[in-house]
Amino acid sequence: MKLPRWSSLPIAVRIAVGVAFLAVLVLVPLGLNNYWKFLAGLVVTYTIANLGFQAVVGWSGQLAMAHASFFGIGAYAAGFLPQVIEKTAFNPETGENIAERTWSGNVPFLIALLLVPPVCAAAGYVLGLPAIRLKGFYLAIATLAFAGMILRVFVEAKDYTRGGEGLSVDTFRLFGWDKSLSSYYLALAIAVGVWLLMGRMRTTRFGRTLLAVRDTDIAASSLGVNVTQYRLAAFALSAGLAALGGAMWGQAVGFIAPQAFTTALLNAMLMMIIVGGVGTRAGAAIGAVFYVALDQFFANFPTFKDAALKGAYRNIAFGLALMVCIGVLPDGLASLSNRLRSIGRSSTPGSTDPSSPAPADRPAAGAGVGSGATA
Amino acid sequence: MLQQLLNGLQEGSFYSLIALSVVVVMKTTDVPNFAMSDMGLVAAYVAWALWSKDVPMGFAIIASLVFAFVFGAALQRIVVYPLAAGLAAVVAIAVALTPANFGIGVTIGIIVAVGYTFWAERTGRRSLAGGSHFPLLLSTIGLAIIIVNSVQPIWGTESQNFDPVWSGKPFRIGDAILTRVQLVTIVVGFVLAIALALFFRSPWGVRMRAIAENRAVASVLGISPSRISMLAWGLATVISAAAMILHTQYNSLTPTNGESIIFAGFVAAVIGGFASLPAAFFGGLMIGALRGLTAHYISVSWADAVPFLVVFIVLMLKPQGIAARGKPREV
Repeated sequence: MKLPRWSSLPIAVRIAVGVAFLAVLVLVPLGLNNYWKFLAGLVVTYTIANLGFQAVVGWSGQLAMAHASFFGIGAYAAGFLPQVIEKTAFNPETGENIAERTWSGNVPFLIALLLVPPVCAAAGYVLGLPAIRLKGFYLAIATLAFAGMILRVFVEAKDYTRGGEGLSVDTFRLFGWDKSLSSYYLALAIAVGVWLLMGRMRTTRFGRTLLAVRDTDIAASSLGVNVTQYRLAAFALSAGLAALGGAMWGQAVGFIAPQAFTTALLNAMLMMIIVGGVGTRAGAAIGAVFYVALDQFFANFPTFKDAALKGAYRNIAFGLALMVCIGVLPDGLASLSNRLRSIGRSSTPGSTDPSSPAPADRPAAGAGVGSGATA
Repeated sequence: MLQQLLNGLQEGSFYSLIALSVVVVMKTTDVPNFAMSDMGLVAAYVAWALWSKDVPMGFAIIASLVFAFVFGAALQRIVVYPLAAGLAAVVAIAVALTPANFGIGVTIGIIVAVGYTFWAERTGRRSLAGGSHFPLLLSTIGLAIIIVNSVQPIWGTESQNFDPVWSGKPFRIGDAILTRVQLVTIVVGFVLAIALALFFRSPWGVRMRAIAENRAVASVLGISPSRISMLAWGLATVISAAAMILHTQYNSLTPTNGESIIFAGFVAAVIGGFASLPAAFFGGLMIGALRGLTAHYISVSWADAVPFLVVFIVLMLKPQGIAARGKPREV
């Protein structure tokens, strides 16, 4: 059976399929209970952040490991800006504990949501300025260092984040809907916007230039491309989208604490985009579904004797998914349809072997782990 | 002040040893190995498991170092053929469904997986060896996640302690106290650093450097890259195991011990440009000393920021490492 290529379909068909898919996403939560709505919301928020990660890792080939930190910054910023934060201080004169107001922002949530991504994008740009000179895993180490310091800030800036106690987030209610429905639809609207924007960027000058910078930076610079500015732009874009995803994640979860943004989250994000498919939009979404599904599978798996080990088994499964995927599916799950198509088209079994050169008709967006980053 | 410095040097010795093992792996096989300290941690658990079954401590340590060598060599195969990890898991689960325990399942799984990698090599399957850093980095991150989380089902989550052979009365230097554990840690660090530097001048060491320089030419000259890579990983894991066994005397044995020092180890390796063993070693000691002093004079949470600040400064000022000589690694 010969499957048609997605990009070769008439535009009307593609729009129709897209609208139908969107309709399913819009209608699905109406038939779900609150828990499933919550899970659907998680998938959507991770997708937003993953799309940003694709821009910096997949498109520009830079191992920027501060993604989980920007995700956390977004969650905290959108969480504390609309709130009043108090801490209890001991008054030695009266001998009583009194509440001391450390922040009374009362910034409306939607304003905070509009403010946070550009500010984080600017912060990403500033972080990028010194870090951008580094390549490959040197950049990974520098950005990991930044991530470690941000984690300390989350713990230490108690006046705004409440430190290790964690911060309860007031959920914004769109049109007065219930919490999970409101946060799901708001996140979905943002995700669709980001999705379309990323698709547009990928096929226009910005995305194509980034791929050129990734693959042959010297050649690109000889053609007059300002390589540094493009790398920085990818950095800033990813930081902004991570913050946006984080802000919506905070809304979906309702409670944020520093330990949510450790390297464990970064590893999960890496796993999502690698297993989903590096450099593709579909990969960002598939990875998010895969992550949440696997997480829930282990959380609800009834036969484990020891509940404390569920987390360990789940993490082992994540690690295995990452390794096996690098071994057999370097372009991730999103490349499966292309694989199936190439089996259908050619009779030579060798064409599906990963060691054979990439077929020419492979979509250019499929960056693959192998070609991902310069080292 | 001297006391803080001594405590810091003890802590720094762990970073130094991890940095040495990271540099050995990087120099020979060009893999940024984020699983390095976790691999050593497994050996420390083996030593503890033997000790808790009444094996004499000295023998338990030697046995665990031998184990570390074999374990490191085996994991080198799995990292470059990551599909083997999946195979190991399938076998481990199959064995675990029988009355045999999880640990035995994992052991058999690893043996089968390593067997597969040799078959894969003979039949010319694609390996990650000698390729770009990104897939290798991801592969070692996956491995680190798997190792840390496998420790819990096999050996439990509660922290463990064991008595070293070298415990005894502490020494006094002025006002400061130097415990025997601290002395042994610092001395072992020095000795291993010197031994490694000498090793890299020996014929085997030269072969290791040769495959790092150019795999193709080295194999034409009759050096087997896959065998040398296994040797290098085995050696590095022994060093890492020494660090993690010493670390159990500093902080009791828990599954997260490896995570807590791998980053500082990498920072020390960055100071040496991932090439210089002495620079990596002294870099580790320096980070430890700085941390000890910062914890005392400023605050403990600032001490945690020291490795991050150091790597930021080093990478911004001299990304090729403080002691870079000759051909610098591309940064």
